[in-house]
Amino acid sequence: MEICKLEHIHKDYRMGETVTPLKDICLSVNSGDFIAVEGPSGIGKSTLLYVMGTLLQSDDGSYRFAGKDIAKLNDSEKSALRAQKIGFLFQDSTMIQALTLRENLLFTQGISGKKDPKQVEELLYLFGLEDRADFFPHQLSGGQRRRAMAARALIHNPELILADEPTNDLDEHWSTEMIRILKEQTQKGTAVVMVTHNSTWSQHATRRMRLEDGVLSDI
Amino acid sequence: MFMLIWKNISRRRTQSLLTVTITLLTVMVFVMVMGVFQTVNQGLALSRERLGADAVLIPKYSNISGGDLLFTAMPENIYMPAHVLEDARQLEGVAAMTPQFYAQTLALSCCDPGVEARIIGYDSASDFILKPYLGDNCKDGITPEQLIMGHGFSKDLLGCNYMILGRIFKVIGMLEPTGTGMDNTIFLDMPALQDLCLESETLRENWVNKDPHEYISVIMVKLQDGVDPKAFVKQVTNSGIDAACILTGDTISSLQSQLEVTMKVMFALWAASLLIAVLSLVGRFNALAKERKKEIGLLRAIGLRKGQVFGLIIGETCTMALIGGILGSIFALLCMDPVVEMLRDSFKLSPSVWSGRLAVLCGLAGVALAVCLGFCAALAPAMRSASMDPQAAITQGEVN
Repeated sequence: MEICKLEHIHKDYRMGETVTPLKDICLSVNSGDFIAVEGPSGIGKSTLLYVMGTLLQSDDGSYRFAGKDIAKLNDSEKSALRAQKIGFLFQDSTMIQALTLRENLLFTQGISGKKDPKQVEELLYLFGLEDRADFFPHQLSGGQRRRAMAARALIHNPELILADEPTNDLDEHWSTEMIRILKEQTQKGTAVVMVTHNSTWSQHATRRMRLEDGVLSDI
Repeated sequence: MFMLIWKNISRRRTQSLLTVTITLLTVMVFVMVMGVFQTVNQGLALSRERLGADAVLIPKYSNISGGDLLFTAMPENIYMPAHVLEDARQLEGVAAMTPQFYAQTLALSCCDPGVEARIIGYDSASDFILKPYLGDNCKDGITPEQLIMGHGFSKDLLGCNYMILGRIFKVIGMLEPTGTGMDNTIFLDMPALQDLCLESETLRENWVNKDPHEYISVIMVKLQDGVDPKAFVKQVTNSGIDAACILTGDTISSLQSQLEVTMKVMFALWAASLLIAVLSLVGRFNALAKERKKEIGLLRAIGLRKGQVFGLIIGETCTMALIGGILGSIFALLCMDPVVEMLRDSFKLSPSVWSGRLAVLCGLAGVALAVCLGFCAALAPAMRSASMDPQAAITQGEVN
């Protein structure tokens, strides 16, 4: 089942000179896909995820999510889509500073309209954070924060997980675990699009792609 | 959402405390200025409405001021011969006149107010000053064994026996507030008070070879409708009677203009402090929105709508402002009594109109001001945060 489809997506940035990270992106993401997007740093991989996550509007082309044209959705509709169907794992560690780890997960789950404290505890256990549940983000190490963000991306059972360098800050054991958990999600029908510059981890994906000169191509 | 608002406040204690303190101080000053302004204005309005007399005839060479006479209950032992009353009856344009005789309490007793207080002996037959504010039980006058108290005395004294200068009187009535010195005055039957001057060892010294019954202190005069008060003063001066004339309206107007200048200065100072508070809060909320830019981007990414982000920031600032407003109002109201007392000393004003109702009104106005202050100061940062591009907020959050 198709979750989302990008057709001829074009995105420019104007920062003194015009930078075009996405020139002509075409990609169809289906339920259960585990897509790895490789490419050197600064090539536009994160920009692709922001467009797919409806956080950034493309300048040209069409993007459809669950059959809906994203360009035609208003802010509330896009917010609802993100709350219910998309899970983000950002490159930088971003969490709500005034909430503990458990509260962060509960809050994100609440935004999507779900209430399942048991699932929160299960995810904390899955990512080895059960003893850090009542810690604030600033009290966690970089690796712990990364795992916490992954738990948050999964908390509302999204249809699409967008993972930006998910193994950053993680040791070998937790990097392997992270990939295993993401893969496990795809077996449940969730699609994962992971961007990385490390080919070791992209080998676990079912589809490997490279972003170069603003164009996606299969490896 | 409210959970996040409350946790953002409670877990950023230093910042929240700073915001609450700024609001608290602004509201405290506002409530006090407003309280004083209302007290003074209502006091003066009450005085105009309830004073009853248009003019007061006082002993010709006494140096008492109109303000002291009307607005304080300071003992003023001024006397003029009782025949002045008869002379004054010849004056034209007078609707009513009534004499009063002044003395003062000295000694402490079980029921004594504990300070020197003015006692006024009044003539029940001709009185028009007290009558409108007396209950039915003393409308027809009082006996030599009874007294009436001003509104400023404790209500518990009503019905008690009260010792004045060694003689026991029964408290049979209490006046409604007048906003004048009458509020802190004790009223006796005039001949009874004149007797008391001879009985009291202390007061007797003032009456060696003199009979208090042959003296009065002031004559309260009500003018006929249409009579020009200034012309009446001229008439008194030209008549040759042994008295000077004070116009109550002039006294109130003079006091009002003095107070207006003071209130203007107070309002200007408060407006300056309000401006400083607004600038500080705008700065604080701008900083708050900037330092949480990345977090706001995250909130948008996990599905919060623009309106919810706006509500989050406004909710947070208004909650802090509300707390500051409530505390500021409470502190201000606690400080009002000493402030009103100071005012009374400085302006010779009887501020008995500072009431519970006025306190509640001032307090509520303070809380409303605080919430408005919080809302206005946070409006621009909240709108900016809500309309921020989520991707830019996440990626540039740390840079900006």
